Amino acid sequence: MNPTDAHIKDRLLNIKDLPTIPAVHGRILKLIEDVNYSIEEVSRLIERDQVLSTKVLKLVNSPFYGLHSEVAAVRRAVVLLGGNLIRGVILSTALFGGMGEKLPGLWDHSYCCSMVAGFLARRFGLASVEEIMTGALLHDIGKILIKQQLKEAAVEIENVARSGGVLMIEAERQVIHITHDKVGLWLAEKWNLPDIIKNIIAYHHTPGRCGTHLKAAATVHFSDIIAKGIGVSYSDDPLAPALDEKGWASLGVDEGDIVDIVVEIVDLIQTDKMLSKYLSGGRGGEQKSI
Amino acid sequence: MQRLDIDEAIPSLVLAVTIKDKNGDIVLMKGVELTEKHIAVLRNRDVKRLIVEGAPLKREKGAEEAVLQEVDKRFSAAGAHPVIAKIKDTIKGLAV
Ligand SMILES: [Fe+2]
Ligand SMILES: [Fe+2]
Repeated sequence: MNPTDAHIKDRLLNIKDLPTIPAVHGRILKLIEDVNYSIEEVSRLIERDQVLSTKVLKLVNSPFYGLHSEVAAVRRAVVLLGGNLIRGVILSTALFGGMGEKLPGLWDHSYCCSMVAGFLARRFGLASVEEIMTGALLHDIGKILIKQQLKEAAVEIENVARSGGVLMIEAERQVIHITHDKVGLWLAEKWNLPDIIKNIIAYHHTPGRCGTHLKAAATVHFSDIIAKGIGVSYSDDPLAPALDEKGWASLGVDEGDIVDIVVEIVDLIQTDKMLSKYLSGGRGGEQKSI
Repeated sequence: MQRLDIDEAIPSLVLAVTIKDKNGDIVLMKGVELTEKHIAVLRNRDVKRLIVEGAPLKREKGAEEAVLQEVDKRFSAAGAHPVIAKIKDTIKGLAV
């Protein structure tokens, strides 16, 4: 790491500016660090927090989960989601907390990628579906940190991206010489997230360079392309990235399946309460178009 | 590729995507050329929409163009890999 990198890293990870995690959330995070955490105890703590309860229930009731009846009990949601996803929800809630409205669409984009990545991971028969979903939920956290800690640079990055018609990651490279995937990794390291989640965040634009968790990173990369293609994106970064060929090849997906995959995902988005708004009303008001 | 309402289905159109019913059971496979009989079966199984090859139906021009251009714009930095092209075409087909 060269001196400017180290300097920017210091600024980005400056603890006193980082979002604080409420005490109850902190206790939940502590509990789920132990893989044998008590579901009862975690559920009880989540129930005490209205915002968190709502988020957890919304997630599990997404049509992407394919459950046949609505889940109303936090306890059941905890069982279905798992500790890593709950950790992802808590951490992203903290990060998005004060920043959400300054990054319009980024929460929806992250949520959409998480759902799509889970769908794809199951379809591709991958292990670690939950970790892949969590990685997808957190894949762009570096963008939040840049926006919060490097305010002027963030404005310039947005201008470069918009006027140049380039992806935000390209604009970041031009303006601060550091990109949000790397920044996200620093935060993930600070938070001690599992390796697979760290790798997904670090390599979601370049899965081909990811050694150990190539397929997981490639799945989130592919989800990112689909989410952006459908229009579920952060408004300052609406362009779909190019396909990473090595990552794509690792998934061994038949190109003939792509149409089916995209159709299924669009149908799921259409019935997802949080995402259906991205498919704006088309013919006759009832029929949706993208 | 184009998505149609069941009322717009006519014989000789070719299915671009396998049709499943609400229970996830396959009704008709992709590649099938529709007949009157098929369409009756689809109605019977309560299938509301289908996706066919080509663009057999002309929609109102203005709105359609705008949506397609919007999708093109989203993919303007995504390169020309055949996988990207397929994703883009599918999204466009569902959009109009
Ligand atoms: Fe990204
Ligand atoms: Fe993204």
